[in-house]
Amino acid sequence: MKKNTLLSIAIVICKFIRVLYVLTFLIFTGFFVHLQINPSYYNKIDLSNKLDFKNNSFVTSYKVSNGIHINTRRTYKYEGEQKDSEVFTLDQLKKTSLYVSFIKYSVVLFLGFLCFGEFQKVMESVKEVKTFQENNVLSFRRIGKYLLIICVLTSFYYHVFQRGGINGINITPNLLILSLLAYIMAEIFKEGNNLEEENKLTV
Amino acid sequence: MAIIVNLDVMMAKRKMSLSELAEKVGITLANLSILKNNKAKAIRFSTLEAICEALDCQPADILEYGKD
Repeated sequence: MKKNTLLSIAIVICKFIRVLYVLTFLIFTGFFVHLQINPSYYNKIDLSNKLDFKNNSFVTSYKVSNGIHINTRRTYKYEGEQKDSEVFTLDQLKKTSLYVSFIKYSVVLFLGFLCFGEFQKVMESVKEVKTFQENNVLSFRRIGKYLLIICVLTSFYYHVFQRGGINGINITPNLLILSLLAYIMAEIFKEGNNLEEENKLTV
Repeated sequence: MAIIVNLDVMMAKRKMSLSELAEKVGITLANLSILKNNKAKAIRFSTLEAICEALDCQPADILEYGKD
């Protein structure tokens, strides 16, 4: 496969993913608005993952199936004898918690959208054979920064319900590794940029 | 910069214009300007040889070392 074909495919994929991000945000916003108009529609959606917690419980789980995944969660109920399906449903979520979650995931989606935008810019510059330029260094740094913020934002959750709550830490080192890789790429492109400038000034 | 390029001095001595020298040496006017204005970071032996041949001089006539 020719270099340009591969890059063109990568650019198209980036554009497609960005459109998906926009669609996801629109669906997410629609869902958020609908939840406020008709909360009873969501009374079957149980956020406790059907683990049937008692009054106060603390669970730590580790998954290595799709990369390392560390999840620690604490669940509590004000009235311990109630079923999870009555306490931790989406319609029972407090307004503040709902708004905070909406803003948090909107920011995550927006940053993901920006990440792919920056990656698309890099691909386009490589296609135009302007690979080693200052803008690409900045783009990779921005990607690294966005991924780091996404990692921090998705690493915790705090849902307050009318009669209980779920909070926990959810660490996925994959994002941290990707962020580190983006910063390493920025350094490589910086070095490439210096070499190209030196080459340009060699008579 | 520690290395000073005295290309303009030699060109004046030989009464040669920049475009004329560029043509004789076989490099672009832009690259020769970079060299003349002390902006170059490196010079190839082949370019230096061609300049010396065109200006009928020694490398030391073009390049000079000066402390910053």
